[in-house]
Amino acid sequence: MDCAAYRDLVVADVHGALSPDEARAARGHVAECADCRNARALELEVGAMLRRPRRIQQAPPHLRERVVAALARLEAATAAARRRRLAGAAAVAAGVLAALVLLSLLRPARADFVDPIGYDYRTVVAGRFALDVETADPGELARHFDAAGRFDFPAHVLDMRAAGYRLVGGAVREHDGRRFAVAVYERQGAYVVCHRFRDAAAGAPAGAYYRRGEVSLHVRRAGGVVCCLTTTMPRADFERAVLARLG
Amino acid sequence: MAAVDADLKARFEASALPLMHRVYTAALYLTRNQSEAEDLLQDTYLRAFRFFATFKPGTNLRAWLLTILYNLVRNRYRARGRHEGRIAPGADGDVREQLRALADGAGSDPAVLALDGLVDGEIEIALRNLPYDFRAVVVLVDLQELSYGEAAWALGCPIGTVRSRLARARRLLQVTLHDLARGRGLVRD
Repeated sequence: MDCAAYRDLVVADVHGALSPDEARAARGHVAECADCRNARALELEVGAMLRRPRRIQQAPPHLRERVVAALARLEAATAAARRRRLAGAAAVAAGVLAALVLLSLLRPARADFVDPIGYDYRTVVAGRFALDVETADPGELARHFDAAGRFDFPAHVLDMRAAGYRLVGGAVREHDGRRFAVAVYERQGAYVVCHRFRDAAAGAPAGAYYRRGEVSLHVRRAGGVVCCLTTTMPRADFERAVLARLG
Repeated sequence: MAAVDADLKARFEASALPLMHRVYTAALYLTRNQSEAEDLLQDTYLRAFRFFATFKPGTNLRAWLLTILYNLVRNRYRARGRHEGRIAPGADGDVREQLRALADGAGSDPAVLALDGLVDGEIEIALRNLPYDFRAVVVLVDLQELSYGEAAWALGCPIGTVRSRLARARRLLQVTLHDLARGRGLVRD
């Protein structure tokens, strides 16, 4: 190591920040070089002057008060924000819960009649639906339902002539333990099928509309008894051309 | 939760507030402006409190606080588009120039004999007049007694840079001190 190399390291040497190899080389050089011993002594002196305790300035008292007050404000703001977050989260949770409860109240019980009724309708259209009674007289079909004696509500067969549909006949059908009084109507090769059934659980709210493929179901309701009209007509057409005329 | 927070604040105040003088000193040297230093100190403490949960107990709190301070200074000057006193790209040449002049003029470091005659105020002037990058590292290592590693962390630079900047800062200081000593007739040309 020469003087120039040592002068680059003298500060780090005094700070004890040289690697062991560098420190060994530096000590070796300083031992033999008066100039570098001087440089080292100078560095020790400058370093000591810089480190004098009086170099550390006292923070003015008002500054400490200012910082403590600012910390208190920050803490209060943080706590308030946390409270707001918690309150917000609680409100959101309460809202979600209320919405879920409301939905569960509003949501119809599973409309488990849709698929069986859709099935019946397709068998009607396919000409495979076996009628108990073939009649164009709603009263006769009603008597059949009453005579069967298996319904806990008075039989009623809708007269759809006002809408241009004639009664073809009807049958009693059971699907999954639920009994349906089924009436079949026809107009120029198009069918409307009416299923009347007991729905105490209000699973089929009045005005409900369901669609399965080509088939759509329109729910009319009187108390616990549902009359579900099934058709392939577009919903708006059916409402205008059929339901509006039935009153 | 509130109890944990209260405990955190108590710990912060008990450990960080006593270091305020040191942080304030560093802020003063970096800004060379009292009101700016006071603002900087307050911002440092607020930020430190916000992140105090991330401070690892048993490590150097002074170094941690100073790192926050230095980061704030860097961001602030960067935001203002100025870095007062920072070394311009060409400044290294000036430093070498001064050092060469010193080396030529001083066979056996006459400043050694002169330093005792200099009052603290003059050391202070020499220190405050160092360009920012040199002043920043001297404040960390000499005044605040941080290790080279801690200083490198605070400055966001490699340890080798700390070492080279310290060496160059010393030579600049000696040039200034030598000039001061000569001005007071303590050394002759």
